[in-house]
Formats: sequence, C-alpha cells, structure tokens
Amino acid sequence: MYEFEIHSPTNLEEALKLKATFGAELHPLAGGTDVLVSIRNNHINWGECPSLLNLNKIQKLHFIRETPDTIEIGPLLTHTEISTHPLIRKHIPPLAKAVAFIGSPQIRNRGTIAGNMCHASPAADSLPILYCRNAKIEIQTHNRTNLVPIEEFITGPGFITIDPSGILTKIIIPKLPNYIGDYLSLRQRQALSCNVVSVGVEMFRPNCEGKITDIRIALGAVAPTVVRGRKTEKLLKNKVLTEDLIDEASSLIQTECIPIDDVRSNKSYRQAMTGVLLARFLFSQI
Amino acid sequence: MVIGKPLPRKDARLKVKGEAQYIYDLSFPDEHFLAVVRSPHAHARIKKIKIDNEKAKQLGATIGTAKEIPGKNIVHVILDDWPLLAENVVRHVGEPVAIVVAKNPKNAKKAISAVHVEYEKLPELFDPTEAKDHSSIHIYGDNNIVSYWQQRKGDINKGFEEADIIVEGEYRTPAQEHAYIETQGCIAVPLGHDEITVYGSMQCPFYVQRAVADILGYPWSKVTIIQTTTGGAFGGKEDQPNQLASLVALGAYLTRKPVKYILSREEDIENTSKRHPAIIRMKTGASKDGVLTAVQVEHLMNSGAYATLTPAVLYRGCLHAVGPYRCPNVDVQSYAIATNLVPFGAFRGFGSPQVLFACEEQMDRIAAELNIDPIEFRERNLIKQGDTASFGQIIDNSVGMLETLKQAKKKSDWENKWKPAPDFNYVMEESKRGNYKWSGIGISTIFYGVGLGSAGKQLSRTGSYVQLEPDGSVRFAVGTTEIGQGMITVLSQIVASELGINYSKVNMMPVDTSRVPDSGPTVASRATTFSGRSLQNACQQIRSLMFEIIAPHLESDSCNLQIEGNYIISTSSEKKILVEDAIEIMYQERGQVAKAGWDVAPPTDYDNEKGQGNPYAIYAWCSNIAEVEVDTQTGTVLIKNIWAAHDVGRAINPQTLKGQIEGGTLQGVGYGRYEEIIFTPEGGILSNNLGTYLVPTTKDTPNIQSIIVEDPWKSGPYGAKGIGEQPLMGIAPAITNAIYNAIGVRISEIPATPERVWQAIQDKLQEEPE
Repeated sequence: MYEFEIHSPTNLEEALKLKATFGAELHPLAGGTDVLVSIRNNHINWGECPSLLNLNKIQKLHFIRETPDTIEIGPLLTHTEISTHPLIRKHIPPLAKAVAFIGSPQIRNRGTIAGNMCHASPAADSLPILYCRNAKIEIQTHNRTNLVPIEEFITGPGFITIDPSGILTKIIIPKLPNYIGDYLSLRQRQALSCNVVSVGVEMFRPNCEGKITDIRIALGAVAPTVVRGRKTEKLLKNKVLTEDLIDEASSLIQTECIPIDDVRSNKSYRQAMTGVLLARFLFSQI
Repeated sequence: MVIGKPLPRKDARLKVKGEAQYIYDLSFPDEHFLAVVRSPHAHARIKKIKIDNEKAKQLGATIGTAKEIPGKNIVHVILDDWPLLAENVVRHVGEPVAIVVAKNPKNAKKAISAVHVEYEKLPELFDPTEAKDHSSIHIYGDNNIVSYWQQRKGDINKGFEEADIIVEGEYRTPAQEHAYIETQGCIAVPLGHDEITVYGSMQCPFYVQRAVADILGYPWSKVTIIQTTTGGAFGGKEDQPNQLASLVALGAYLTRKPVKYILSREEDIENTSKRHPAIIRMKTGASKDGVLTAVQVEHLMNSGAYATLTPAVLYRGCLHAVGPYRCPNVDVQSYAIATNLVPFGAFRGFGSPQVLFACEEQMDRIAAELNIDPIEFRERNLIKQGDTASFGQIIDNSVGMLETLKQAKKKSDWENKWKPAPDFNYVMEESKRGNYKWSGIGISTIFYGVGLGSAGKQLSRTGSYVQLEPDGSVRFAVGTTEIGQGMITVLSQIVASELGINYSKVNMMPVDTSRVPDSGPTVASRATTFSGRSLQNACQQIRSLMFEIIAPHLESDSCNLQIEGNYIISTSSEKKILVEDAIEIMYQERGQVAKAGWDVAPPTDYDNEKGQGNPYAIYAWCSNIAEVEVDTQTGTVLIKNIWAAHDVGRAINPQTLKGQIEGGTLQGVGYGRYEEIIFTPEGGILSNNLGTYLVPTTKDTPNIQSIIVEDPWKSGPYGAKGIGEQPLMGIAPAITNAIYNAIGVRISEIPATPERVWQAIQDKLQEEPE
C-alpha cells in the first residue's frame, strides 16, 4: 500500500553517518508500533513518507546495564523486556508496572521505551516514572554526545528536541534506593487503550511511619507533556502522612494540571482523577 | 439426527486458514479504482462544480457527477430521498458529490483535487428536538419528520389515575458503529454496454440489484449481484452497499472497466450508517402491588440527513417500546427526525435497543420504588401464553419468556445475590474510607418480533434452489446471506435432515441474484427461519420426485416412503435404500433432480391509525442478568458476569447459537458500557477509527453464560425462530440496573463510561448533600 525507503545499518557509526547525511529526512525506526501507524496516517512530522533508518540490526543499541547509581537502557529494549527484566523489577518497579499497560502483547513485544519517549505523547505510559526519576537521554551524532534531561527532551505533544543528525542512544535512569513508588492510571478499556489520566509517584521515608523526606509526582495525559506536581511535592515534603494531608494533597494536585476535553475523556474528570489516583497511592502508605 | 447437533461451521476452515475470498482478495484484469469527492459541510448549497480537466487527464482520471448518471439519481431504500451524488444541496459531512476513477488508488485520490465544488453554507441542525417542526431549516419535507408510528391501547389518562405510583424518566442513547472486521467494498464489472455484475461485501444483494438497475437505467435481468465472503455486517451492510455498489457501477459505466472501491476504516466510520441516537421520555404507572396500569412513551430518533431505513427502524422501535409486558393502557408516540448528520440505519436490534434501555430502566425504577425484587415485579407483568401484547396481538404460541427468566435467575444465583440497592450516602461515606468497590446485580427481560413484520411484509418471501448431484451430494442456493452468523451451517443441517444426506455432502452456493428470485433482505433475524422454510419446501418437492422413482424399487407405494437417517424406508414393504443409491437411480432413470423452493411468511398487519395490530408473526424472548463491580471514586464499571437466557424455539446448531449469544452480548456490552460515536461541532465524526472508537476487547469480555430455552414455534423450521439480534438488545439496561443495585445511582444515558458514571455520582452528591 505504501512505499518508502529503509536503511538498515549494522553498526552505530554507519547509522550516525547516514543521519549526518540525511538529517531529519531520515526517520529512526525501532519497534515501528508508532512510526508505521504514522506513515499509514500520513501524519508524520517529517513529511509525507520519509525514509526510515532501521536501528534493529545494531546489536549495540539493545542493552540494559547497571552502574552504581543508575540503570542504563538501550533504545531497542522492548516494553516486554523492560516489564520483565530483573534489574528493572528490582530498581524501578513502577516502570515495569507502567509499560505492562501499553497496547497489547504484540505491541509490547515490538514497541520500545525509546520509541514511546520519542513519540512524546502526554499519555505515554513509560514517561511519568522517568520524569519522577529525572532520567537523562543520551543523544549521539557523528561527532558529539549530549545528555539531555527528560523534561527538556520532550517539548510538547509529539515534539522532542533532537539534533537532526542525532540518534537517541541511551536512557539513563537514576536509582532511588529505598523509595516506594507506584504508577496508577485509568483507561477506557483494559487493553489497546491510551490512558486518560495517569500518576507516577516515587516517595522516600527514612522510617515508614515518619516524615516524607522526598516525594516526586508526575502526571500523564493532563497537560501538553507529562508534568511534575511540584507544589504538591513541596506540600508533602517533611510531613507525616495523615488523612487531612492526603485530602489537601489530592486537592492541590488538581490545580497542577491543565487537562483538555478530547475524544478519550473530559477536563473535569481528568482533573478530579489526578486527585483520586494520588490519594490512592498515599492512602496505601498510611 | 443432524438437527440440534453442534456440527462444525461450514465456513470455519476457509476463514481460519485465511483462504476465504473477501472483496479485497478479488481482482479483475485492468481493474480501476474509485475515490469519492465528499462534502466537507453538514449543510450547504452547491453553487458550482468545476472540473480541472487538465489535471484529471494527467492522472488518467474519469470524473462523474450527478449529470453523468444515466438512470435515476436516487438510491432506493424506502422513501426515495437519497441521491447517489448530491446535485443542489449537501445535507451531511461526507455526502458524495462526485466520483473519480483512475488506474490506481493513489491517482484516484489525487484526482479528487481536480473537482472544485463551490458551496454556500446553509444553517445546520444536529439535535432532533430542535429539528422537529423547525420553522425555516428543512432537511426532510417541511417539518423534518421522516417517519411516525404509534401504539395506542385503552385510556392512558385513566391508566395513570389508577396508578399508585408513577415513574418518569428521560433517556438518551448514542450512535453506535458496527465495527465489522471487514470494511465495506465492492467491485463492478461491466459486460458490454448494458450489462453489469457487482461483487461486494453485503447483506442484501437484491436491494443492491434494484439500486444499481435504477442508477444505470438497466433492466434488472441484466444486473447481477454476487456476495463475496462478508466479514461481519450487523446491519451496517444492509442499505449502505446500495450506495457503494451504485458508485462503482457508475464508475464502471463511465469507464467500461472493472471498478473497485474499498473503504479505509476512517472513510467507513465517517460516512456509513450507524445506530440511530435516540431520546426517549417515558412515564410508567403501576399499582402498589406491582401491576402495570399505564405506559406512555415519547420517542425521538435522530434519522440523520436521509431517510434510508429509518421508517422500518422506527416501526420496530415503536413496537418494542413497552417491552414484553401486559399493560391495559398504552400510548407510544414515535418520531424520526432528519438532521444534518450522516444517515443512521440498521444495526442489530433495529431501533429496539434504544427503547428497551428506557423501558427496562423504568421497570427497575418502579420495582425499587415499590420495594419489590425486580424479578418478581417482572413476573407479575410478563406476557404468558394467551396474553395480549401492548399492541393488541394475542401471543398464543412459543412463549418461553418466563422459562428464560426462571433459568437466568437460577443459574445466576440471583436469590442469594440480590439485595436492595444500598443507601447512596452510606456508599459515599464508605467510599471515603477506602471502600470504593461495590458489587451489584441487574436484570432485563426483553422480546423480539422475528422477521420483517408488517412494515416490510411485501419483502417477506424467500426463494431457494436444491440440486442433487450424481455422487449423492447436494448443492443448494438461497437469497439470504452468510454474514458471520452461521447461516450456511444451519441451512446445510436443515437440507441434510430433510433429504437424509450427510451434512458433509451438503454445500451452499455463493449468493448470487441470478440463482434464486428476490428473497428479501438478510435482516430481522430471518435467514435461518425463512430461508429454512423455503429449503424445506424445495426438499419436500425433491422428496416427492425421489419417492416416485424409488417406490417401485422398494415394491411400495410412494406415499408409504419416508426418510430415516440416510435411508428411504418403506413403511409397507419394510424395504429400504440408501439416499445416495436412490439419487444414482434417479440419474439413471433421467428423473428431475432439482427444485426451486418458495416460502411466504405468515401474515402480519398493523394499523397505525389505531396503533394496534399483529405486527410480527412470532416473538423470541430473553432474560439477561449482569453482575458488575463499580468503583465509586473513578466511575469505572467492571462487568464480571452475564447470564443470557434465550428462547429460540429450537437450537438447530447449539454451538453457532452460543456464538451468536456471546457475540451479541458482547456487542451489547459495547453499547451499554463503551461505545459512542463522538461528533465534531461541525457534524463530522471525531472517533473515526478503532483507536478512538473503542469496542470491548477480549480483556473487557465478561464471563458470558449462554442459556438456551426451546419453546418451539409451530411454523418454524424444526421449531426455530431466529437469534441474530436479541443477544445485544437487553444488555445495556441489565448493566445500568446492576450499577444502581451496586451504588444506588441511576444512569439515564448510555454508554455508562467512567466519566458518565462519575458525573452521575457527582450530580447526586449535589442534589442530596450529606
């Protein structure tokens, strides 16, 4: 039905060279679960039917490893691999939970976390926890390597900042030892469905009934990008969880999003649900 | 006995192996492709159509407008108001204005821009309440009323005077998309200058035959329609192929080439018919001991821009509005109103799911007000054999209603599960404490008039053809279609049983309008029943031929012969012969080995002036019980179990029957809980693909228990009455009644999405401060 050119380099150097030559004309392809749909819809930002740079033959981009302070993920790691990998399950359990909601088994077997990130949907399930963790994205070009914080990498719905000759080569996710985290989301049906609102949380309390010394909250599908609930984080920091505090936090978080009415849900519901989901997490920690 | 056995589907192997030929798989040499120039406006005058001939030529495209139509520019359905290509006014977004034909789909699509249509926008109407009797905007006639039906019985005012309790409600139901797995498509192949064959994915080839003949001005005998393997229809391929086949036929007429048109999912959802959205106001009165005294219904259906099937859909809606209950005083006023939305049409249930949602909500509300178990309340009012229905018909035959209720009640363990709905304020307090998941159970009891009924009785006849082959196998043809429901299988079982031939040796020919006479549409759950009756007629004639030739061989009189298993047996001489061997003898003796069958449906009548009559020949009955879990904080409803008990007269094939029950129930779950077409403010469709129009997936499928009740219909083949539509019809109210039973909140608009349930909870919190 559609014709397009695919380049399939077998090593990163070759891929970077191609990208340096063709720039934005050449669109990277990992799992293809978003790219091929975009091509089919003729909606792609890069023109009608761009050439594709198939990264799947570059073994080097398919990895996961642990450093003393971080987990590093290569762009070819699929959602299924992430949701089942022992390193993720041990160090970033809410991410394992989040990506298991994506699409269907077939989509999770093909789709990658890097693709989910580059597609930059505010409803992307992989993002809220990466926002909580202040993940960094490594972008390589033929002559440079840059590290970009995730909040700067994603600039709007479907928009990322990336050098036209750059390729996303690594996602660096800081470990948060002894944090308790969760990812809560609501969706229209139980499979093959974008979330209509989601909340990612990472919280640290030195002792389990004492004060919260750190908490990070990220909201999905309620603003043009995933957003952090920084006022609510501030409210909760250095406090002991009580029912009243949870009520207050659940009201405040609703002011930190700017949801819209769209084909999936409506503004007032989304707003109210950020409060409900956050409260559910906090109640589970009392 | 081959009847009543769960034999494997005739078409299963081909479909599972991917070998069935759908329209997409079919190609002809030098085939061309069609694209349609569609209106971007909901209501506008066409001031000018300018063709860029240079551009069209470059792309090798042929362009056709209304002017190029050789016959009548009317797609015939019922009221003849639907042009194939708009001439002066467009009345909905997506209305075809011109066709473009080119060598490949790409050029055809590009050539759309060679057609410049100049529009002058007109004021538009989308809301039927506003459109009814509108003083200046006229979409249909001079009051926008497309159709009107009524039911009247007794004295409605007296009925309300006699009532101890009166419940009133207003209900809204959405446009539902059929979401068949195969999108619509057709290929027209011209033969010479005045003959054409159209292949396509469709339900009603004879409708298409007439539509194409009218558009091209050809004699019907030179228009042949062949149904290709059809990947689901659900009503969506009833009238729509009339339009699509006419478009390709026009393309083929203009180019003298085979012309193919297969809709993308978006094109299909945006431009083809859906279930009519409806607004139903209902007032029900009952005595304090739970007996109905009066039912009044004001029923507005949104017809969209053209009448298409609306009058027939409204007829069924009007006649099902009171439900399967006795009620002495009835007043149902049903109107279908034209608006500037895409024309709405047939969809499984055909106008009845809308009114049944309202009716079953009302029944539940009264039962709750009277503090009666909703099943007990229904038992006091349900139609039993010999009772008179709200429209005056005496229901004297095949009334399995109470048996379905009894079985659904028993199998769902209703007795132990049902308790009155909890107090709403209590639910909210508990919910705050973290107990936000609440379980509930709900019921609906419904009925369905099988077949076309009085509104379509002129179409209510079926042809068939049965031919014995020398090897003892048999082939048959009918005019109704296989659309996934299992008709080929069930009809093959009937033929096998009638002739004593093994099921594996009975084969159906593809449906082709040149094989049997116009047999009416494949709708109204009529294929098994009415093609079945026609095949019985053909087989009976063949048996007579066979017995005459075989009688001497069995030293018997032909009137003493009968079929038992695979043998012809003489009751007098006690001799027998294998049917297979008998057929060989028939061939040897040059006997006639083929016969055409014919069937005319039993009589029906309806007097709309009086609002009374005998609208359908026979009724099917059903009870649904749904068990749900409601999250009071998020409004999410999880449907856990559904018990669906159906009186089908006779289950010819219990396996395909269960398939129908499960599939229909799930589509009902979609209607009640998930699915809704979302329109743009300009009258276009926002939810135009399966990523935004969400049907339930496997993971959303509740545990469905199909319960088969058999109260045979004396005129049905082996007692069968049809099952196509009923499984969908009563699911929505069973779900919303279960939601009420869980949390004490009523839902008056479906689908019961989390947003809507949550909003209903918020509204109730507002009206009843703690």
